Amino acid sequence: MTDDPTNTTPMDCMDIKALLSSLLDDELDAKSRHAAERHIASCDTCRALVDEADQLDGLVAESMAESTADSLPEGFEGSVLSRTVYDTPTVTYMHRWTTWVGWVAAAAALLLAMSVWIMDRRAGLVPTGDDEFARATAPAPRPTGITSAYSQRPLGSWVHPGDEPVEPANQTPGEPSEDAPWIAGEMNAVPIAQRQQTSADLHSLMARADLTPNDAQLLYASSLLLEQLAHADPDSFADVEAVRHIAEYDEILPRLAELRSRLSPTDRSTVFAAESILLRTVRGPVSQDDVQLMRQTIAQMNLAEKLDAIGITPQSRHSV
Amino acid sequence: MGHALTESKLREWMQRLGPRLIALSSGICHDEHRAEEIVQEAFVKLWKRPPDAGEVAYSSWLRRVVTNLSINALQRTKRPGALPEVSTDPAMQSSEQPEAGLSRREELSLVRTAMQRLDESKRAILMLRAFEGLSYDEIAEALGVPVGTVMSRLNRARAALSDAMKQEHQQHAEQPESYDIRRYRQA
Repeated sequence: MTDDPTNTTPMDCMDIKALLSSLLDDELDAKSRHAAERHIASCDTCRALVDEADQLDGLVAESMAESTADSLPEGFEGSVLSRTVYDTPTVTYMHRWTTWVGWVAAAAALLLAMSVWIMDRRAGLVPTGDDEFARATAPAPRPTGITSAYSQRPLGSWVHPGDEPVEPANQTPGEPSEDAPWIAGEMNAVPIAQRQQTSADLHSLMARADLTPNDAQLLYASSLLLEQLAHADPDSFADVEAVRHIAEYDEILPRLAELRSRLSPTDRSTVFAAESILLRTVRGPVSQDDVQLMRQTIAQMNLAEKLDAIGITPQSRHSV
Repeated sequence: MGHALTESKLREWMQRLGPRLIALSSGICHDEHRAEEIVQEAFVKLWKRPPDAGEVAYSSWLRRVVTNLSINALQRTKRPGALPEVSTDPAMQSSEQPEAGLSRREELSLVRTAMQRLDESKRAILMLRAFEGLSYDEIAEALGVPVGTVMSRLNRARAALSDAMKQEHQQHAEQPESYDIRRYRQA
């Protein structure tokens, strides 16, 4: 056996097909190439096969060359550089540091804001002088008319301007009579003008110069609770429970009672009406009919309108 | 970690190889915008982790990264409704000779369409060989396969392209010619 490349085993068409790419791409060893070329020289089919493959290669190369732009697309270099050369570790560390500082600063600001808010709340209940302290810590005068209203007196009778709460008539506090719901009577007992006057009264309350920001905040918070009751679902009592929880937690009722003691008779009745509703919610029990009546009463008193007025009044622009 | 790359070198390599790499990627994944993103990604990778062999390896390294990213991108976003793959059924393969008399421009148009009928791996290997002019060793490195695999894949890719071209020619021949083209051919 010699290494003469011409001394090779003849190839057939199947061999040429199998070695076509290597032949075309000059990847065959000398012996194999010689054998292939000998076959191609005598086979038109294989010659056409090789020619076609060669032509297709040319077409592919030319079509790709046509698709190749002369330069980079606009913005390409800038995009790469911004993610490489200009994206330095120090920038990253600075970003991380500033981000961390930002979070700490935000947390500190939030804590400070909460502290101020808590202190404001407590300041509202902590008077500056002894007399004020005595008044504030004295048991809040009970809105005694409520138990009567629960059982006997219709709504109109105790929301009428000028009325003072009356003593209950042998009525156990918090227990409504079985004979009449706690807000008895039709809403027609309260003239519309009067109910609107209640709304206007509350609005006038908010504008009173002697009201402190805490008073305004308390009235606003109370109006929000009434608003929630006005849209309460009679079937679930979830809203009633929520209002009850908040009113108890924030000590709304004793604060309203204290506020009421500093008001004019007209304003006093308005706040008394709000207290009545909230007290019923807090004390319970509340039936589905009670919820319906609450909704009607609060709607008739135009509570949403009062809230709008509260929002406009500068001294009352507090968030609860 | 390889040799550090400077900004000026990076710009130089982008200018020199960028357009060609974009064309390579676009030919594989058939999406110019995606191709630009892929090539950008390749240069970012080059910056962050240049090959240990240094600048002499940048070209083949970039080509390999672009090829793989392009194939992977297309495999992840296989779009329905693309041109059907070339049939390997012998009964479907046309034995007719290509239509004679087509202009070079028409041939180029047909080969682009025929290339779209191939799967992305066949397109990639054809472009690496025909367009990039890589050797079998270089193609093997770019694709991460043995050299023997390169030869067999190229064989299959060329056979598939040949069949696809025949189908394109057949479809082209079946289309009614416009009056203008007919007039030119008669000239």
